This record gives sequence, structure tokens and C-alpha cells, in this order.
Amino acid sequence: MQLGGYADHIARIDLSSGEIRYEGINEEDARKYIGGRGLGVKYVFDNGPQVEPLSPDNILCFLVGPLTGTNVSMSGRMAVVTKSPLTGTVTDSHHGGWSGARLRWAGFDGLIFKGRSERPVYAYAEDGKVELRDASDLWGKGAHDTVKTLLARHGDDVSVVAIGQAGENRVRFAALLNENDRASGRGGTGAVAGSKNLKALVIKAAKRMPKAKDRSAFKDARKGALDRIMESALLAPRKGGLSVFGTNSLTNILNAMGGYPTKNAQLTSFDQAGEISGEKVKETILVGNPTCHACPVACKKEVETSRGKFHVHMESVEYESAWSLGGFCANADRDAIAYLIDLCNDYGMDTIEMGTLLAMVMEASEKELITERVAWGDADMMVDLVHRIASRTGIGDTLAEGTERAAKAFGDPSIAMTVKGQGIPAYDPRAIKGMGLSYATSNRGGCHLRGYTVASEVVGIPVKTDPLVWEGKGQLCKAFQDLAAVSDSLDMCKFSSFAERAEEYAAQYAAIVGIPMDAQGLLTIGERVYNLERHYNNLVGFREGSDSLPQRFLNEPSTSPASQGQVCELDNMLQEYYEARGWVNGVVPESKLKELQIP
Amino acid sequence: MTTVRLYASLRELAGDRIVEVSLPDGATVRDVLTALVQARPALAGRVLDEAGQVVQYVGVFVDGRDIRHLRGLDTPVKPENEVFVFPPTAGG
Repeated sequence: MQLGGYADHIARIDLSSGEIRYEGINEEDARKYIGGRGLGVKYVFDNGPQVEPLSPDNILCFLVGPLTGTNVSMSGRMAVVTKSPLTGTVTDSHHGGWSGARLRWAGFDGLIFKGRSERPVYAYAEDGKVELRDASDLWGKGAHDTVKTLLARHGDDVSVVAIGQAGENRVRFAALLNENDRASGRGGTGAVAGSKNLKALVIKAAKRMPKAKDRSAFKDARKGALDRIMESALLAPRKGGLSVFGTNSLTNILNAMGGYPTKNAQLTSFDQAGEISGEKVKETILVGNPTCHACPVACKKEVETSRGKFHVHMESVEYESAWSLGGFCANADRDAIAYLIDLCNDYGMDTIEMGTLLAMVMEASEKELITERVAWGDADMMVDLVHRIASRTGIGDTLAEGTERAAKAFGDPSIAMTVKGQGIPAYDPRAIKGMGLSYATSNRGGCHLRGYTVASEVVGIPVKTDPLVWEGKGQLCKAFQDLAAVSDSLDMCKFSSFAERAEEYAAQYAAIVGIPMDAQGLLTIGERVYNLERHYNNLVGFREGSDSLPQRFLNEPSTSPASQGQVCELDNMLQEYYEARGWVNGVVPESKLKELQIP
Repeated sequence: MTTVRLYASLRELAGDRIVEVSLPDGATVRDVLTALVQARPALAGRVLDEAGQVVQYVGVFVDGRDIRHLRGLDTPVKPENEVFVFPPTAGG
């Protein structure tokens, strides 16, 4: 393949036979889907949509993009792409830190695992080669211990991506964690790894940045993008809001707007939100500001809580996790939230799904659907349940199936705040209506990152739209979804889009890969990726009527003064959205597949 | 007295999370923010720019509603209203 930026080197590992094959990337696929999410979705599609997610037939792809490992700002991410055991849709889950860059430095664009090993193994990747090594001494360890052991074993210049006990026990929302405690959290990618007896990846490589095809153009393109980041009111290092306070600076603003789902979305604001906000974290427990490869922003907020039962020194308190294990469960104990996030990370479980699950349990307890008494905000019980879920003990075995399945088992599916089987994130659709549409039409289930209309509805990027107005959100949602599909396929950090536009992405892509590309060209690729995912999901069975929201958001009005009386007018927005997409009731027609040259 | 609630870096600059400003009848958000900066000079240039407009991406809310969807700086403010001022921020 003649395209720059790629290693043109993928390893296919058959865990059943132990056979490892190497192949290049099909150039047409690279041009049409780029890498990361896009290329991963293509591989998952080619593997066939009818596979059982936890069977040996499912594939688990670890992929990067052509910008990964270079010094493009905010480019150091890795995509994990598979068929989700939680939702049954295609899913991709990304993480930051250094493992993505290191995979590229080790000479790979991706590793694709299929089959199931007879015994626990880890994959060791170095200099373009992969070996499978015995992981029986690691099986049963948490992600933190696993990472520590493997780093000690393999020395310097090493990244580790691992599952904890939750993945081993096939908790449906199990995650993968790396050595910087960054998570590929959503969708149960850790359960897929566990089902294959794949405990970890170890990637050994010193820094070896790929060179751009057009070095002069790259210098200008990179500088142009970096200048925008450095001047950004949101991203500028040590000045921008995201850099100084992290994502958790959103707690107070969403709460003030009446868009902070509380008590399993029974309420739309939390009277103690201030106690768990980014401001309060910075005032009380913040100890550091970690970052990722090639990122000047450093949005992570490392904390150490006070001595006592919830003492922990942990990587970061993010908005989503602080919300899910905080306000959504009516828990205002800052230390407990940090402790719970770290516990989920160690066991390897999605913190967002954990929060939606525990909030559902609290409502189930309130309604006496279950015999366990789990009061709102009871942090001790939350910790206890996390242990039981990870080990599938007692009620934990039911809960390990995820929020939606557990709610059905308790006899009231309406108390599951999920979309396509995955828990919703931290924006109430009654107050941020575009996000309601974004959740409903997400191809991987309840997700805020597929189409982050918050940027427009709350901040005003690129334009300010009214969060309480549903009109116009169809086109807006599509635009954000297509752009996010681009950044996920390049595998850029999504926060770069608060400063960069598709124009900056295109300039950097063109310079590195060495082919002409403009903003519209990239957005067409994003649209193609989104449609391929949707087509895959249609073939799995997600068709008419599958783009929906929990009834609570459609029928129970918001309780907060700022968004008083609001519900989410999803049906109206869906009509607009399907028209913008050219879909028929959520199904991609043959004409659209042809137009976008899918597959 | 009108309550102004400050967040993140604005809170740190002002040295307070809440500033009370006293305004005549018929006051607008413009009056509130002008009084705020007079009361807390460290906020100069952080809330209103040199042209007297709200600094880009600063969020100003009256009782939780963004003034960009009300009447902007001409939005009327009564003593019982609360004004929230957020510096530029975003997340995931």
C-alpha cells in the first residue's frame, strides 16, 4: 500500500490454533474507512453480523489510525472494535494514554483476535511480531496488578492493555484498561477478551514516530492545528476550562440547566451536585493533571482522597463517572465516588454502565421489586454490589448482565435508563434535546460521544443552538455524528474538535497520508462509517422502532426550574434525522449503500 | 439584591462563589455583569469583552436559561432571579 502514515501491517491471531498471520491493509479499505473505528467496523462487518459476541467466532480488533504515533496533537488513541455482548450491535471503544502510539511504534496498524485460547494467554507485540504467552499467573488478578506485573516483567517502553476479573467472568460491560488507567470502557470489549481467555496485550516499542509523506505540508498543518488548541478558551494548557478543571467542570453547568439526570432520572438536577463538581474536586482532592501522547491539554484530574474507608489515589475523576456513580445514584460522597471509579477500573468495568445499573437497583429497591435494600446514595452498598457484580456472586450474577437485562429480570424494564441495551450518559434528554436524539440513534447504544450536540447546545461550538428546542436537531445530530466518526477513525481525541475543524483534520491527514483531502471528503468518510455501522445493525435486527429512549424521557416532565415541564420530542426529531440521513425508519436503503459505496 | 453565582476559574479570580449585586428596578443582565466586574475587578475582560459583549463561550444563565436564548444582555433581571456565570468549558 502506498499511503503514508500506515504501517501497512495487521496481525491476525487465531487464539484457538495459536496461528498468527500478518497482512497489509487493503488500500481501498484504507481510503474508504481510514483506520481506528472505521476500519474496525469494516473488519467486524466482513466477519459477519450473525456471530455470537462471546463465542470464538467474534473478532476483537485493536486498531489505530494513520495519524497515531506521530506528533499530531491529541492523536494518541486506540480503538477496540467488536460485536458487543451488551447490546448486540457493532461497538468501538477508545482509550488514550500511550498504548495507541506504542502499537504504531511497534510496527502495527492493528491486532485482530479470533477464536478462543484453551488456557489464559497474553499477546506480546514487538517489532512487527506477535507472540502468545502464558497468562495463567495473571488470571484472577485485577487490571492494576496485571499491568504492574507485566510492566515489571517487560521493562521500559512498554504499554499494557488488560482485563480484570470482570472480563474473565464475562460481565457484559467489562472493560479494557491500560497502564495509564485509561479505559476502553463501553460495550463490553473486556468481556469479549475474557471469553477468548485473552488477559492482556503487551506492546514493547521505543518512540519511533512515522514520517509524513509531505513533510513541508505536515509542518504547516500540524502548526495550524496546534495554534488553534493553544489559543482555545477551552483547551489552552493551564488556562482553558478543560485543561484546568477537567470534564467534571460540566457538573455545575448541566445541573444549573436542569439537564443533570438524578436518581435514575426521576429528577433532572441534584441538590448536592456542587459537592462532586470539578470545582470541588480541584479545591479538595486534586493532586495531578496527567495527559496522553502528544497532548498539551492534560485534562485528566488525578486525585487522592482522605484517609479512611474510601482512601484511594487514582487516575482521574471524569464528568461521566462522577455523574453515574454520583448524582445518578444520589451519592454526594466525593471520596466514595473516586473509590468506586478506581474499583471499577481495577475490576475492569464500564463506570457509566455501573452507575446506570446501580441507580436502577436503587429504584428497584425503592419499588420493592427486589429483596435487597439499597438506599439512594448508599456508597457502602454500592461498593458491595460492585464486588458482587465483578465476581457474579448472588444478585451480582443478574446485575452482571447489564442494566437492561437486570431490570427485565426484576420485572420492570421501564426503570432501565438504556438505549439499545446500554446505559445512558450524563445529559438529560428533556433539557438537552439534541442529546436525546443522539442517544436514540447511536449505533452502539446509549452514548454521548457518537454525536456530542452538547458542544452546540451548551457551549456554542460551532454555533449555539437552544437545548430546549427540538427543531433543527436532526441535521445537527447527523453533522456531529459524521464528524465524530472521522475523529474516531483517525483516532484523534474528540476534545480536539473543540478547537479544530474538519479542515484541520483534513490538512493533517492529507500531509501524512499523501493524498488530497478536504473537509467534505473526510465528512463523507464519516458518513460512510456511520452508515456501515447502521447497515450492520440493521442486519443484526435493529430495524424500525429500535431508535428509542426510555419512556421516562418521553413522558415524565423535567422537575428542575430551568427545564420545567420539558419532555423529549423524540418522534419529531427522528423524522428530521431520518430525512437528513436518507434512511427509511432507521434502515439504510440500498440506494444509500450504493451512494456511499458500502461495503 | 441579585445573586450572581460564579464557577470554575471565575470563582477563583473573584475569590468568591457568590457575589450579591444591588441593582435598580428594570435592571438587565448587562447591568448585573457590569456591577459584578465593578465589585470584583479581577474579572475584568473575563466576562465582558472590550466591546461590552459576553466573552466567547462564557455561559451566562438566568435561573438556568442561557441568555443567548432569552434577550441576551438585555434580558431583564429581577432581584429574585439568580444569574449563573460559567467560564468556557466543555467535556465528554
